[in-house]
Amino acid sequence: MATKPEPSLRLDANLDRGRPVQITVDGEPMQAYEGESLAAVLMAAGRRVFRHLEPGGHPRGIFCGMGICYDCLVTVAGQDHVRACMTLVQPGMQVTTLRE
Amino acid sequence: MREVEIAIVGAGPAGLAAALEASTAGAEVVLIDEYPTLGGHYYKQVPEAFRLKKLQAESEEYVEGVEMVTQVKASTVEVLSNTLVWSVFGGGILGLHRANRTEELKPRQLILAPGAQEAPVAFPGWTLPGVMMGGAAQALMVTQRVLPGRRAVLAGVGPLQLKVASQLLEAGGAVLDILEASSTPPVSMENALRSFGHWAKMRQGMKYWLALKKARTPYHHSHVPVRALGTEQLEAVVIAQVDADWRVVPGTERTVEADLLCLSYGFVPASQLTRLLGCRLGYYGRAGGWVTWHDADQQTSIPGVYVAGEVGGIGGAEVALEEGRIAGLAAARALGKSAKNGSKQEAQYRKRLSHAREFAEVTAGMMQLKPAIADLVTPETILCRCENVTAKQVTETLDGDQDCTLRGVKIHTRAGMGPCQGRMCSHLIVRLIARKTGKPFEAVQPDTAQAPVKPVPLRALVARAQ
Repeated sequence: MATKPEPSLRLDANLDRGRPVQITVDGEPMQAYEGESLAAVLMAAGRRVFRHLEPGGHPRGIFCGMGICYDCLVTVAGQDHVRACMTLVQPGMQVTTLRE
Repeated sequence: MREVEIAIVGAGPAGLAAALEASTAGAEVVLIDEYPTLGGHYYKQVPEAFRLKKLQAESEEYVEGVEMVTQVKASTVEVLSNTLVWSVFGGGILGLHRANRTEELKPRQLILAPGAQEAPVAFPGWTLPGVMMGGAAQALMVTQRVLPGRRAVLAGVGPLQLKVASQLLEAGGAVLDILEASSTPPVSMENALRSFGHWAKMRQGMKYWLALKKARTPYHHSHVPVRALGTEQLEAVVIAQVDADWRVVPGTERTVEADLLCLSYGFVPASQLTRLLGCRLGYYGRAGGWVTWHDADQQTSIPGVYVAGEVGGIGGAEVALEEGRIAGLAAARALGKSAKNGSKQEAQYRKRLSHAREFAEVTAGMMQLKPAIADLVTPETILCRCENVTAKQVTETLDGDQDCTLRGVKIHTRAGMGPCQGRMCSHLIVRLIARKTGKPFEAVQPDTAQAPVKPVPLRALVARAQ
């Protein structure tokens, strides 16, 4: 895992996560664990901007966190408009953050 | 088409409780939920692939959630997780979307327990990543076990943000300021007197309050965030004092550097399905706005359709649990089925429900938004997050429309036509209309519900046809 000066954002005091899985985000490998949502993986990696909305290039990330606002949309394996907060990681998942 | 005796939509406290009662009474029950894990937004259970080291280290409600979910899984209830109810057709037929396919389910009795959403409040910068609903921060912390930010400002109304704050502190985050819009803090002598007799709730409130005291977290009543600053994501929050009517007091602004701003401005019932069915709704501002009417058996204006929990008025988890139990029993009874000791238990549920509703009345009084909350919006503020529609576009439309309707705004600006279907902006626009016309919120025609209530891929509809 990439070394970071700050403590991990994953809260593992009372938790064993699922088995480690690798995904890619915009082509970069990213560490994830079975059971995690894409939103959680991105947030844990410090990636809070999930897409830019045109016109204006407005950055967006997690807002409602419960699958109703459709702000956290990403592309997964070529499928557009996937809600990062509602989608659990699968090994080898290819995620692309959007500019639309 | 598949038929079932009872279908229950939503697996939070109300839906789980309804499922248990109805199945115990001998009914065939299908419990449908959009999420991968049962429990809903109140119980916030960890994903199945996670293992908790010690259950005793979790909160009381987390443990209660584990018990409820375990009971349901051990029962005869059939659980359909990862399943969206995207429509309700005539005769109460449910349109389901799961595993990229659509299918229909025809229940003889239908219990809707879809819960609520958090009430949106807009101000400049509220679309920046790092600004999120309090519930989103909680979902990250409790369900996913990820810290949503290291330096947080919390804003909103009522006691919930005390809970979010203590959860952030426990997770190792810094809570810089808590802003309560109203002039009466939830933990005050006034509210303590109102809460007399609700000892468990008072104990819980005091627990959060003491955690904040211990961390020396500044708590400001009569304060709101007026701007969120940052280029790519949240970098700072400008906060200001408001008067008793929530008008910003000039000259009181100050800036706090933060990477997380949580908004907890109360809840709105998730009434898409009951509206689609044509159930009677009524406006009750203290319970979140448009609530679905129901009788003492939780039955709506449509025979055979019941509601339980927040959709019938925001009341909290204890109300939802008892309403769920009563709805489950009533739906089973309509099929001629009842459990041994059923009536004795039901009397107990009704007693607990009226006690829980008393406390819900106390918190309801703390969570009502005042009209001036709409004034935080500037012309450039985005109201419709999906379609990037600004307040200026909305007010210009309203200026040219004598009737000042939500529908007019939607047609002219596309606000509310994006994938969230107005779940955020319609509330903001109704507030602007109310502010402009001087009408009370309830006099503004609300949004209509349309199927699909959430986007369903075309290929899923095609997959059904094949």
